[in-house]
Amino acid sequence: MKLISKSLSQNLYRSVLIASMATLAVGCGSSSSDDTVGVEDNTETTDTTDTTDTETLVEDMYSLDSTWANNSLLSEGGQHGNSSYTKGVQRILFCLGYHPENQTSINGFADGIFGPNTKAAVEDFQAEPALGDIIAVDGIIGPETWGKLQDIVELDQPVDVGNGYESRSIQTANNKCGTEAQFYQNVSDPYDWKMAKTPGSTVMVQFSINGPNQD
Amino acid sequence: MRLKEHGNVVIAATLVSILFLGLIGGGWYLFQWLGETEPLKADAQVVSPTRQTTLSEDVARKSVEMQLAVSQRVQTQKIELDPSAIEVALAAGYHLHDIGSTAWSDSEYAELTKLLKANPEIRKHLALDFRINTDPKKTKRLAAMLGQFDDEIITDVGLELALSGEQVSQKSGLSLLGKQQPHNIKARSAIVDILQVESTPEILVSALNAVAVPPKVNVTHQQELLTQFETLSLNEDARVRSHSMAMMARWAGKTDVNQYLLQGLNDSDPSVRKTAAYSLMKTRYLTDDVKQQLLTRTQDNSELKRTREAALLALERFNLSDDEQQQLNNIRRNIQQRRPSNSAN
Repeated sequence: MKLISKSLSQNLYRSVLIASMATLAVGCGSSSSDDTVGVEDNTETTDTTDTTDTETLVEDMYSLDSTWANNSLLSEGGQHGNSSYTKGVQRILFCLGYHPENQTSINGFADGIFGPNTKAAVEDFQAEPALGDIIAVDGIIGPETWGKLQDIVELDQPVDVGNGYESRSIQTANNKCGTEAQFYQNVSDPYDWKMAKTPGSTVMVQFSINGPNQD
Repeated sequence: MRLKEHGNVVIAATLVSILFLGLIGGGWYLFQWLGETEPLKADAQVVSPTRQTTLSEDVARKSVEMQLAVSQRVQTQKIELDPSAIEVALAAGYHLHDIGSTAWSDSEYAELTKLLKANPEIRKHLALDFRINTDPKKTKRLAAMLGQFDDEIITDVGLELALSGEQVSQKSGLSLLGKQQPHNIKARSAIVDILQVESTPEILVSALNAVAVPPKVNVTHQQELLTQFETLSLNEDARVRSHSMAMMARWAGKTDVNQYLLQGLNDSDPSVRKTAAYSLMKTRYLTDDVKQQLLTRTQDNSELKRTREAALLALERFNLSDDEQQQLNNIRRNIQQRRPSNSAN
């Protein structure tokens, strides 16, 4: 599963993108208000099974942790579960081949909604023994899953799309997603990433605005 | 007139024959549906002698007893299965045996969930279907679907498979129990038992994954699980040690597990050190010792990139002096610059 790097700059771009995604996701957690400019909210109301638990209440392990609060994670039913962050991850998962077999279009799968199929795809990705990596399989995108994505994903060479942006496609061994643009990067700001509203189009939506090294 | 009477008798006899054959055929069909003759996929391998040698005698006995008891309960459920569930499912557009055979969309998943919520008999059918299923993709789908519900038969099927002694079945059973356990105390209890009796690393990893999502409202089993994780953190298999670290941090709550996580941070295996660094992000005991050891890990140029990054993230929660902060910034820059050459880490 591990893809061979083509160039130093490619790797650097790849790392920066994923790190940006991860850092922003983490950043969301430490923010008290929803200051994640441009994040699409795809909140849906789904009927959930009544799973009444009569056991004693104890605090959630994340809720007292300011850095890794629940809302810093991408999960089914989580605060940013249905968002452009999820859409970005879904695109990566799709291009890597982690999606239901009846879902053959990237836009069909990458809808920004963290539903049962996305959870199953995340679990399959987590369980993938690529790189000899061992991470917990919980269907939640947290720091370790971001790290594993960072190790595996590779973006293709940038293409100038004008207005100071370059587009990037996701490269995989099976060339599943071809050269369709998935992400856009502001050339003047290595941490300003946007995402294609529709893969292959030049319409962008805000995806991440902060990078890991603001110092 | 006599000829007509004779004709009526022939017609009547033919109808009776058709009815009789229909009854026989229908009965046989129902008999098949009820699965009386279907063997459990691991029936032939229930706790093999080879496996027993890896367990202590007491533990092996407990394992066998548990499986016998649970198998008995599952058999009873099969006998009591209500065939009308087939008709209810058909009316809703589902052939029971086909459910889970192909992928479903999120909305189909929600629809099926609704149907199962209203029909416990269909859940029972699916649980017994899960028991004999050998398609790994169907197993995953059914586990996700059935795991939402708290039926005893679902727990029993999961436990029976998990104790079968055959690895594929064991993993299937654990995946089902794992989906149930966040809201089901019996499923969680079963996993605790399995963690106690199991010794095969692959199965231990699956059992640890089965408790990867701690319930939001629960203290039951917390200490039992922590005890198991502590024991497993010394396991000779690095995967087991690594997973036990990850689970320990998830289940720790107010319990201080720093000593085990720090032990992991200094493990001889890099993957265990990586998991320990990630796990220390969750600790609520931000001691100087933890801070110093994390700092040491970030400064180690031979360490995995991701371990160093995880340690940096974990350190963000500590009160750092300006000097220490500057030091971390330098390290972060250093790691970023080293990224391309270290990407295989």
